[in-house]
Amino acid sequence: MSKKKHETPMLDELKKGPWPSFVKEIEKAAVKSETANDTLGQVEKSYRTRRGYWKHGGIVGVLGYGGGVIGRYTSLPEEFPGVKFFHTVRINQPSGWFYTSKALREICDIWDKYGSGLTNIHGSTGDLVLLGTNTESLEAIFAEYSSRGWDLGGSGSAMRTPSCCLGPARCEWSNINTLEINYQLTQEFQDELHRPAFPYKFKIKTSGCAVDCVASIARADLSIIGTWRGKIQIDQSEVQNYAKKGMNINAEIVNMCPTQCITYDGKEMKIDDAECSRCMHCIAKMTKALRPSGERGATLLMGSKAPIVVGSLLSWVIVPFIKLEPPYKELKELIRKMIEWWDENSKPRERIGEVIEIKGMRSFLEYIGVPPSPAQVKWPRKDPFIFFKDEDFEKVFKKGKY
Amino acid sequence: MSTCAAQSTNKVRLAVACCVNMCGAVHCSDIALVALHTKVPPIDHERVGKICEIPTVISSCPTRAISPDPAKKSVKINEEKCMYCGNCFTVCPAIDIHNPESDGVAIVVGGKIGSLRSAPKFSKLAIPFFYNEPPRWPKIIAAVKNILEVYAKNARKHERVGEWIDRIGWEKFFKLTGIEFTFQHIDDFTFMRETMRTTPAFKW
Ligand code: HEM
Ligand code: HEM
Ligand code: SF4
Ligand code: SF4
Ligand code: SF4
Ligand code: SF4
Repeated sequence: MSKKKHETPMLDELKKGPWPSFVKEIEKAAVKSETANDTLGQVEKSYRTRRGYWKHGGIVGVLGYGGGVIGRYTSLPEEFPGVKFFHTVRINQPSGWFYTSKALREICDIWDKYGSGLTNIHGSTGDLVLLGTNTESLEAIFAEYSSRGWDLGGSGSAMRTPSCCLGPARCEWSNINTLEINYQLTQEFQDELHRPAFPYKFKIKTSGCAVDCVASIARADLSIIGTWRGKIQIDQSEVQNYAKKGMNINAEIVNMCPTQCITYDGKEMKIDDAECSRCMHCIAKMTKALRPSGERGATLLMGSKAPIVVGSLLSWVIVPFIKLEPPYKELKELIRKMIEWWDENSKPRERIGEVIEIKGMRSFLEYIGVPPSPAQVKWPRKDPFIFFKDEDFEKVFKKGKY
Repeated sequence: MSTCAAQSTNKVRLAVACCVNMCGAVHCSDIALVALHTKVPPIDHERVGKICEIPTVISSCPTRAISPDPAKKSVKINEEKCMYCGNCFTVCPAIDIHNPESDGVAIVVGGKIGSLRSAPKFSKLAIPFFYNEPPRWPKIIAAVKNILEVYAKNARKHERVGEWIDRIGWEKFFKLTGIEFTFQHIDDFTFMRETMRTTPAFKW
């Protein structure tokens, strides 16, 4: 249909080499799409002038939804009319990002019809991300996707589309059913997801173990990380197989255990389970020989975020251990309380972790009904500036007999 | 770079962020590039009055550097407080933070996400600034390659970049990589307290 509109000598550089090239892909889309064609032109211009030309603009969306579409525009609509609108559509991904090839074809066919044909599949948010369409097409896009069972994802000051690792569907290390938990939370918080009413964004990410494949500890307001309370079971003959295949078990496993709770005398491996902090190193390196056993559940951590606004945070422990079994009532109620507290104590554009920092852990923990625990801190307070409430003297520091 | 990867002792998560929002988990990656502005954005006072909502602009600034300028029916920026984040530009295109001559790229290293062996870590500043040199950014590529090679040569098996640096010490990291240590490396934004060395025990 449309042929190459713009000369792109700088982008052409990035078609060289054995690797996949985003330039080649956009060029393929540009054969059919004016939007993709002008995307190439604008990106080339950015390379030449060393500045960006995308901008925020008016809020756009579909009827009945407060989010799910991100308004994107070029600041050079005369020069690049094809990207006058370049809205992003977020589609709520299935738990663990499982699709049939048929479903992907269907998604792409609809997108070819109404959008630029470009997708980067899964953005950092977790949603399936469709790049580049105009305002008029939005209702039709939504109608087509929703008639096939798809829904929009979250955006703005709302519950963001929860995401999870593929967990028990493919990974033997998973301590919890990440897929089911993620699905249940997505259903539970439909209203919060589609109708932005929070002080700022709220993200929930669930990983089956401390390897944390969805980076929940670095970028979720609520990080749900699967763990266990029990022994690491050892298959001694598999331990010997690792040794035979050349693993230096003392150097690679024993000495690298952060709690120094493993011993190995060349014949038998022993783990002092009471000292194990469940970091996953030994299990990840000797999968066939070691596996967790006993009670399964998760640690709930909160607060992580990227640098904007006052510095990045990693999530820290709030609930050291929670059982997670259907219908996940305790988890759902806890999350509602967390959000309520946040709503009551936050100024606009404050993430929950920042508010906990400002108001203090006590206020937050008391509200959600979680007791203080050494698992929540790296170390206790160092300076003797200590806050007391009257009730503490009655309940905690009782007068004794001398 | 594929040869380095084959030799490296654990996975190396390379990440690129086009702005300080650092979408994804760029701030917790082994080696990451982040695009930066380095100058206080100029204000087009005439346009601010016309196209921007002044209270929104003021509240957009995380460091409270922006205050009203009633005489000009616009805003002013306290240059000492501004750390060039660009939040104001997001809500007000008349404060255009783009500057092709001074915008650039920093390299941060040593972040990790998993809890294996050691706790998750943020990436920390290795090189504060490169000029933006599209389409191939040769100096940045060379610098990343250097860090990757020094890591692959010196780290123990299973050590991630950040674990290797924690073991040898940052002074050793700068020495081995030949990277210059500058004022930009010392945190003077919010977290100086926890980053200063409080022992005379360090390596020459
Ligand atoms: C001619 C009269 C009205 C019109 C045209 C109208 C239109 C609308 C529209 C378009 C929405 C947005 C729906 C959405 O975003 O999901 C809405 C939401 C709402 N309206 Fe009305 N409305 C009218 C009267 C009323 C009245 C009389 C009440 C209450 C006494 C009311 C209460 C609400 C509430 C509570 C919502 C929020 C629902 C939600 O999203 O949670 N409306 N209205
Ligand atoms: C002729 C009368 C009215 C008209 C034309 C009207 C129209 C609307 C419209 C267009 C919205 C837009 C919501 C959106 O875009 O999301 C809305 C929302 C709403 N209206 Fe009305 N409305 C009327 C009367 C009322 C009355 C009398 C009440 C309350 C007693 C009411 C309560 C609400 C509420 C609570 C919302 C929802 C706001 C939100 O979800 O953010 N409306 N209305
Ligand atoms: S986080 Fe753990 S359980 Fe989930 S996919 Fe990764 S290794 Fe497997
Ligand atoms: S899981 Fe970590 S702490 Fe526990 S025994 Fe293995 S290496 Fe040691
Ligand atoms: S917000 Fe920043 S890091 Fe995220 S996609 Fe945009 S430019 Fe890249
Ligand atoms: S660039 Fe950031 S710090 Fe500087 S004035 Fe704008 S919002 Fe404030």
